[in-house]
Amino acid sequence: MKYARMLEGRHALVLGGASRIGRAVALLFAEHGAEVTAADEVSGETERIFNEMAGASPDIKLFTLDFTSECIKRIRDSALTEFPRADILVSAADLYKTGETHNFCLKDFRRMLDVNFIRAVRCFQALLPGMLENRRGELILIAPDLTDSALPGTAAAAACAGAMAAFARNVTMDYIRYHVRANTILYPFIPGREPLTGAPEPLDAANAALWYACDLSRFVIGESLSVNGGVSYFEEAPSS
Amino acid sequence: MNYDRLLEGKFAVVTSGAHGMGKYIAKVMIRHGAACAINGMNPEGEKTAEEFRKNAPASFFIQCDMSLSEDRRRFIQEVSKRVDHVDILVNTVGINRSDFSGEVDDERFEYTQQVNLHGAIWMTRGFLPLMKKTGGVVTHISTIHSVLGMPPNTAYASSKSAINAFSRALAVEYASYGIRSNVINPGGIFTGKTDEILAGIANSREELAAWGRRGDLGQPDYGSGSAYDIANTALFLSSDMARHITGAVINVDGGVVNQAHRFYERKLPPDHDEMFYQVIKNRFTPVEDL
Repeated sequence: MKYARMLEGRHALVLGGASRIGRAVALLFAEHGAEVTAADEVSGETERIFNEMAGASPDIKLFTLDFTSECIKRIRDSALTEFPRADILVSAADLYKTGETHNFCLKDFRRMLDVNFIRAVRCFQALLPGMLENRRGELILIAPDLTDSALPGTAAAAACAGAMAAFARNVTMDYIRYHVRANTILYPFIPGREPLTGAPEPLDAANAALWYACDLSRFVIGESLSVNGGVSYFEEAPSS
Repeated sequence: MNYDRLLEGKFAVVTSGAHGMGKYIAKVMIRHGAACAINGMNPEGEKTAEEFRKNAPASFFIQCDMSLSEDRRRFIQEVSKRVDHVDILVNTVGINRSDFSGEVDDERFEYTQQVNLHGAIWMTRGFLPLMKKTGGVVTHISTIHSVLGMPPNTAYASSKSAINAFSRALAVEYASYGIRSNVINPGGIFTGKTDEILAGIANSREELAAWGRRGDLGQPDYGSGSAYDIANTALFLSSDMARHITGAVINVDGGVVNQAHRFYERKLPPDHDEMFYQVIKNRFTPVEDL
């Protein structure tokens, strides 16, 4: 195995490519030899970040999308021409809101689900025929670490994260015999509470994504991996 | 980060590293720049150490029966005399002497606990002083039976499940020293004798496919995994790629733990038989080829 070029010959589409983690994933995947396309919503901020990324790694293709139904349809229709061999899809979108459930706006919840989860599902559906044809595919969903532990005010974000982890766990059962698998990375929703010194950085999530994307983890299927310094397992000792 | 030499300059202790899964783990770590102390019951383990020293001169073997507290103590003392830092500990050793719950034999139960659980805890406790100097990583090789039931597995499952809990406790207790602790739950994994089996049937497509199908029952993925998969997961967890991962349990099992039950309709490709054959043919990298 070429450990220094773990994604040689691979083609990755990174959704939320202008998010902190999305950027790190795109740059790391490119460093490891993948042909990378980073996509994010049209905005001034996206444009600024994409300009920076173009300077750091000129080979990364950058797409601004509006993610409307029409746009997703275009991705689906053009999958065979624009992403002919896209065999890695990473969702690194990062739009979450907190709030107590009785006050939480349903519109915000729907948008959260749409940006972080539904778009990834629809893009995965668009790329799936190619993955099945090529007998290779990795779906990597990056979600907040709220699937197994709770915090006040996070019910909606946690529901979103739980949906992503469950989707990855289940969808992999459909297609694993085509060598198409899915896994989830859980990243700190509120950094700074970790037992390990220092909060995780986007590169830490990117390294986990790299591990999921390459053959190092080829027998790891439908898993959720917390990159959060152990905070999920930590209960503070009562003060004496 | 140098991904081609993820463990450059590190010193690793791999229990039961003289053969089987432990040998795969040690070899991958040496490939990435580490030196290894390994142990095993059979004195022939020295030959493995000799092989390791070609690429990692500081590697060595110490004969050790992990069921005996005096042997475990001697191993820790000898390693601690020979090196001044231990960066990585992989608790690989494991045996299975299980009975049905209602028929548990005291001696077999105790022996399994001594090797699997006490072995892992003693090794960890023994090497923590060396790890506390600069931080370190402990990886426990547990089993999917720590979270799934498969009769009869009383002694084995309970010993390994206890290791999972121990790992979590260790992770939070020693996080402030920069020490991480994680668990790998292997599923169906072919190890030691696989090479010999495959060497005998490698040229027969039918025999190879038939052999592979024995490990395919109830698996979401094709057949069984390779010890190489476990080694690569241990490498990931031991390296800075996972520097913020601690307290985790990773199932390296082809999806067994995550499937609701084994009787479901799978979508099979039209060339499933050919794919199956190719997987079985190519998945099992002989340890000599690492």
